Order: sequence, then C-alpha cells, then structure tokens
Amino acid sequence: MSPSHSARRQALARFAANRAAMVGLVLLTVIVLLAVIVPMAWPYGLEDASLERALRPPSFADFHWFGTDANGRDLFVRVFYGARISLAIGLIATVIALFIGVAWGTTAGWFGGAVDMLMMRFVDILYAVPLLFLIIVLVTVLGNNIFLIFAAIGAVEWLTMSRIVRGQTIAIRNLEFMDGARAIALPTPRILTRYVVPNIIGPVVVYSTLLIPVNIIVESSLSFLGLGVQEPLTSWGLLINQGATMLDSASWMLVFPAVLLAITMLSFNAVGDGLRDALDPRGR
Amino acid sequence: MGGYILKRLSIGIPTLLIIVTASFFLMRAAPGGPFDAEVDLDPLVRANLEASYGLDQPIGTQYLRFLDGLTHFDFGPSTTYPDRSVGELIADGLPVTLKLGLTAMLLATIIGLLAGVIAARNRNGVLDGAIMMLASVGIAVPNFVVAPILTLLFGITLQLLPVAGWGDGSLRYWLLPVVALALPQIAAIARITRSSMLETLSADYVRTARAKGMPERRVLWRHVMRSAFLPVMSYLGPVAANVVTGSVIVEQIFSLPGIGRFFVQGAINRDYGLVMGIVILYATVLILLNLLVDIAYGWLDPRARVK
Amino acid sequence: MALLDVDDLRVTFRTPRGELQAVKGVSFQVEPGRCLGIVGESGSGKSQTMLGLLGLLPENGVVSGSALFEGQELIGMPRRTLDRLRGDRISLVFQDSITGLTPHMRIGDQLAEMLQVHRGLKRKDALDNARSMLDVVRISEPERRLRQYPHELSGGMRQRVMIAMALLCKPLLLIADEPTTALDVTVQATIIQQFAKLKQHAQTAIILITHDLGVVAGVCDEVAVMYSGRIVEHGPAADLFAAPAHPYTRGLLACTPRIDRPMDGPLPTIPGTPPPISQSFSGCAFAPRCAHADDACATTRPHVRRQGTLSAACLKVPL
Repeated sequence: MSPSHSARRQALARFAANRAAMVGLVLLTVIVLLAVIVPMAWPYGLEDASLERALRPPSFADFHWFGTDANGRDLFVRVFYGARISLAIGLIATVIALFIGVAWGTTAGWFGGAVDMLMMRFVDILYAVPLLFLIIVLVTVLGNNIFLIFAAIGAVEWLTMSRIVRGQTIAIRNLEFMDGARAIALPTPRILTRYVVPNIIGPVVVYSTLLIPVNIIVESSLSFLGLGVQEPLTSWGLLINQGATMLDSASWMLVFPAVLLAITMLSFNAVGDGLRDALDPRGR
Repeated sequence: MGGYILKRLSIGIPTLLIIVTASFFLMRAAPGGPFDAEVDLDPLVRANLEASYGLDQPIGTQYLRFLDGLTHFDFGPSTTYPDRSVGELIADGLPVTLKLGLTAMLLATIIGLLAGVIAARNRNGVLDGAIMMLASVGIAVPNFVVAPILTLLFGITLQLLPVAGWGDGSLRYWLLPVVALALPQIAAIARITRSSMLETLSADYVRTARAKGMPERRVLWRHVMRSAFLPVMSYLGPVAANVVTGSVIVEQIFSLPGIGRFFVQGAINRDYGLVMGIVILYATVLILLNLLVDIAYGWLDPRARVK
Repeated sequence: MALLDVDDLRVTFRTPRGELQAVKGVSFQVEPGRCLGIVGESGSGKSQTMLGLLGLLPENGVVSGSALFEGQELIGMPRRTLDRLRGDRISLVFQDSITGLTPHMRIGDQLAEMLQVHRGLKRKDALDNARSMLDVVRISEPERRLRQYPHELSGGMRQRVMIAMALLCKPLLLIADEPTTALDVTVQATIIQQFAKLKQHAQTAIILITHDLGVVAGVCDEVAVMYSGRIVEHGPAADLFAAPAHPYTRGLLACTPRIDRPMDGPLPTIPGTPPPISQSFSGCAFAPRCAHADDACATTRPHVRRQGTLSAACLKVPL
C-alpha cells in the first residue's frame, strides 16, 4: 500500500511546478548554508566586541553588512549565528513533537475505545491552555537551559500532530486490507510499523514542515521575553528583543533579524503548503 | 439548546479542575524553591519564610487550602512582590489585559471577515491577490516583530502615538498594542473567511437559491453567510488563545501594566504562586470564551445541536 | 411560437488544461403543455445544457448560442431580469437534492421566500401556500416539516421538498433533472402523475432529464437523446420507442429490461464507455462503440437524417 513510484514522481512534479514552494525551498537552502558558513568564515566572531565600533550602521566597507550592536559586535555574524540556534531549536523540537505525536496518535487510533478516549481527552485538556504558557511553566519549573527549551517546546507542540495521526490511523484500521493483516495474526507493533506508519507519512511530513516555523516562533517568543536562549548565546528572538530596545537609535538591529525571521517563516509555510497540495491534489 | 449548553459545561468544568490540580502539583514538585537564589539564607530564616508562605504544611493540606482560596479569588501570596497578594496583582492587571485582548479580538474578527469576504467576491482579481499576499505576510510575522515595527513607524518616525506605557488608558496609548495584537489574527481570519466563502458559494444549495430567482444579495445574506461564517466561528477559540498569548508579549513590548507582565516577571523569578494563579486565570478565561463560541456555533448551525 | 426555443447552445469550461466543450451545439423547442424528455448517460451534457440555459454554470463555464423564452433571449440576460424568470416562470428541480437545501434554514422559510420574493406575499400567507404544496407532493405532517431543518428530513422527503419548491410559483416551464431517482416506486408514480396533471391542466411545459427510459415513456411527448454533448436523435416519444433510428438509441433501449417481453439471456449492454469530454472527434463520437460504424463514420461529422418522424445524426440512417 505504500505510494507507488509513479505516484511519488507525480507528487514531486506537482511540487516542482509550484512556484512559491520552489522559491521558499531555495531561500531556505540559502539561509541554512549561510547559517553554516558565515559563523566559520566571517572576519568577526560572535563575541568580538569593541566599543569604538558600537552602533555602526550597515556598510559594505568594513564587513559590517548588517551594522553593529551597542557593544560593537558585528550583526551579520550574530544574525546567522542566531539562525543556527533558531533553526536547530525549530528542527529538534519538531522531531520530538513528531515522535510523541505519532506514537500517541497511532496508539489511540489503533486501540480505540477507552484507551482512545482517555488519551484524546488528555490532549483536549492540554489544548485548553495556550501552548506558550505550558512551555513557560515548564521552563519555570525545569530551569532555563537550551536543551530543556528544545524538550519543552517539543513536549508541548505534539498535540495537533497526535490528532492528525489518530484520524489517519482510524481510517487505515478500517480499510479492508487490514483484516488480512490481522487474519494472518501479525503482531500489533509489526502491523503498526509496517502498514500504518508508512500510510500516515504524507500528512505527517506536511504538518511537520508547517510545525517548524511555529516552533521557531515559540523559541523566538521565549527568547524575546527573556525566558529562552540567554547571552552569550543568541537567537533571532533575542536579537529582535535587543533590536526593539534600540529602535530609536539603531533600527538595523531590529530590521535584519526580523526580516530574516519573516522570510524563513514565509518560506517554510510556502514549502509546507506546496507539499500538502502536491501530496493531496484533491485538497485544493 | 439547553442540553447542548449543559453538555459543553460538563466538559469545561472538569478540564479546568484538572488544569488547576496539575499546575499545583507541578509547581510543588518543581526543583528549586523561590528562595534558592538567596544562597546564604540562614536555615532558621528559611524555615520562617516557608512557614509564612504555608510551604511547611503537608502537600494535601496545601492543595485543599489552595482550592478553597481559588473559590474566593485568593491565589495566595507572591514571592516577587512580597507586599501584594497574587489576587491583588491580577485584579490590578486584568482590566488592562481584558480591554486589550477583547478589543483586539473584535477588531480581528470584523476586519478579518471583511477582508476575507472582499477577497472571495473578487476571486483571483487584483484585490484578492493583494489581500491574500498581505495575509500570508501577516501570518508569517509574529507579534513581537509587528509591534516594534509599528512603534518605529508611528511612535518614532511619525511621532503620532506614544511609544510605550498606559498613561491615562486613553485610545492613543492602547491603539498600537491592539493593532499589533490583532494583525496576525486578522490575516488568519481573512484566509479562513475567503476559503470558506468560496467553498460555500460553490455549494449545491447556493445554486438552488439562485435557480429560485433569489437576488444575489439575498443569496449571500440568507444562504451563504451563515454557513460560511461557521469555520470562522470555530476558529475564534484558537484566536482567543493566540490573543492571550500575544498579549503577554505585547504588554512586555509596550510596558503595559497587564497581567502578562506579572506572568513573565513571575516566570523569570520562579514565583510559583504568581505563575500558577495567572495560568489558572488564563485557562478559565479561555474555557469560558470557548464555551461562548460553542454556544454561538450551536445557535448558527442547527446540525451541531443534535451531536 | 414555442415557449422555449433553443438554438445551437454550447457550453464550454475553461480549465487549467485548456477548454472543455461539454455541450457542442444543441437545438430543441418546447411547446406549452408538452413534455420533452432528454435522455443520455451521465456526462452526455444534458444537465450542463439546462444549467447553461439558466445562467447557473460555475464561474469557469461559458455558454453561447441562443435560447428564447417567450421570445426573450436568456443567454446573456442581465441577472436582475433573469431573477424575475428563475423560480417564478421557469423552475428547476436538481439532481442533488440531498445537498440542494440550505442546511441552516427551516424548510418553511426556504419555500416561503419564493412567494415572498416573486409574489410579494407576507411570510404567513407564503407559509400557508407552502404547506398545501407539501400536501400535493405527499409529505406527511406538513405543518411540522415547515419548522424542520433539512438534516431532519429523509432523502426522499428532501427530494419532494425540492419538487414542491419548483411547483410553488406555478411555472410555465419546469425543468426537472433526475427528479425521481431518490424516490421509491410508489412516490415516483405520484410525482409523475403530478407532472402529467400539470401538463394537462396548467399547460406547463416540462423538460425531463433522466436516464430512466421508463419514466420518459410514461410522461414525455417528445424525446431527445444526447451523446457526448450533442443530440443524436430526436422525435415523438411513441415513434422513438417503437422504432429508434440511431444505433445508440437502439442500444439504450436494448439495455432496458421490459416487462412486456420475455427475458431471454442476460441484458445486453453497449460495449465500451462514452468518450471523456476532453476528447474531440472529427467524425461521429459514437463510432468507436457502434456495431454499424465504418471508416466514413470515423472521419465525417454525421448530419441529421430523417427516418419517418424521427431525426437522427447518423450516416447509416436509415439502417
């Protein structure tokens, strides 16, 4: 039942024909490459401060392309260093959410009945609290540590994923070929990994792509509030926070990280929407 | 309809109780008490402090006391603001937060609906393209980017509006915060409205209404709008959650004296009582709002009442 | 003068993959008090013809040609003028009755609004009229139905509400697209009787679109057979059923079980399937499935030939 070769190729072709999605993909690639290369290759380091260079506006002359901050640190390198942290948190938190969500959703959907009801009731209750608050509570309780932030975001953002996966699992469980799998007494974990998981991959990939930007925003919001990434590390949220306090004298400190964040969000959304349309052409 | 409301209530109240209980035990089980920061604290002083906050009692007693307190708006003391109780802090901040949040929701709903309907009526036209483009950007750009940009534009460059603070609470002080809070929601509501309008416009019953010779205006108002509004209606729950979340950030940016700022201060200082009290309050407000949304949904859609 | 005179009606859909011709030039007339049956498989363009006539095509549909109703041109008629005709003088019963009623409006309001808009009746009087119309289409407890919502009614009942709606303003022309498909046989018979009565007493003209030849035989005076966007045979119902001229019509009739003849062996079927509307033919669209076809059929567009009272678009007529 896994999607046939030609179906996959058709989906790929549909994706390639989607202009917004392709532009998004290219932009994301460029941003990731810059995030990898710039901190290694730039003449200034993350912490190279010199007060005589403080608050320089952007200029090509001395490699301060994005200007400098109040401590005279180069913003170009800081913005792409921040990109590393923001993208990493977005990705890792999404992977965590993915694992919890898929495990939770398949279990609830597969067993149904009371198990399903209890598990989904739990999800409903968590839904009633805004996720950022849950994360803030977790961060308050667990302390402020970059790895805990990954975990806290991931541990909270799996709710929608589990609902999607549960719905798909129930749909698959009711398909006829499943009777065959059960008739030959395949063990349940085997059925789940062999038949169910491959069939829910489409929606899961789409939702994951759309979850990455959400998680980046969550991380940025936390850092912006002073509850996330702390100096000497930096992230887009932290940079935007620092930029917001220097608005009247050094607007570039806000503009560059903010624009980059916005471009990243738009690109992920475009790629995610493109994937959804490519995988499910009826959904348009 | 009465039974339907009761059923909704029977879901909301246990949810709230579970949230209250969970947040209580989570906070109590947390490592590091509020006095950890003061490393050199004399053991006797620590014991006295803990006694004065009731932390020396058995956990069960603490929980029951806490529940009892909640019923008359007593959330216990705050360790960040030792001379004020959490209840007092909330009572101070709530009017600001509510005014901000409710105005933003109202604004987002009205403008989002309008923009979405206009886009759908001009499907694939220039106006549609422009609105949807703005909406994509609006969804991608979070509050904490919108707010500083608005400040830069209207506060600093044009010098039209104050940059921060609540002042006398008049319109010029809360206009920018409300707009910053509402913009991403306007974008989301506009998108949902547009797609739901387009879907409804192609429904069989809309064709029936046209075949009946109903004028287009009547078709739109009597046959389309109500159904098209349903997805928007059910999205108002998430909008409320987003606005509440956003208000924490926006209050911080504009230095507004709402509960969001206390919340962040509490979280930074590990002030359990304050954080817990505010989470419970937010959860209550959201559950109430969701209940209202559900009731309105049932009123709009006769099919929802039977389920 | 005919009540409705349709001449060379075409319906085209603009799609991302180019234009699709769903109706490729259809002409017919309907006289007051007469019933025209339009028969054909699904996708033959019969429903699209009617939607095109009344300006009800989806946004990407374009209609051309001419359709005169009481001498007024319907094609390109402004919406306001069209609104005065639709539902009042021309009414339509749709095929998709299950989804055809507005889910959030009470049945009574959906019926009454027609009389309120077209006749300027007060809501109460309009509801009274609606109630008696529900009686006509044999809906039980009409008073209660008026207050109910569509989802509270069974499929068959909703279909009858749709029919009641179409009859409410006593139209001059009734277009019914598969009106009885969702109904059980006894109700079906009642509805068909009702149509026959309308025709006789109110001189209503009826266009009945269906694939059910039994229904056609019961009530229609004339029949047009559509295939792949064109009328392939047209003539008086009695003659067409007795001795069809076009090979496709013959095939259709052969496929219909008849109680007046013994069944010997399995029911025959027409081999193959109708061509997709995206496919264009230089010759006859039915040729690939036709037992009588030769090379000329594949290349030459068949013109209309007469066989007695029937006219058929086929090179082989008379067979």
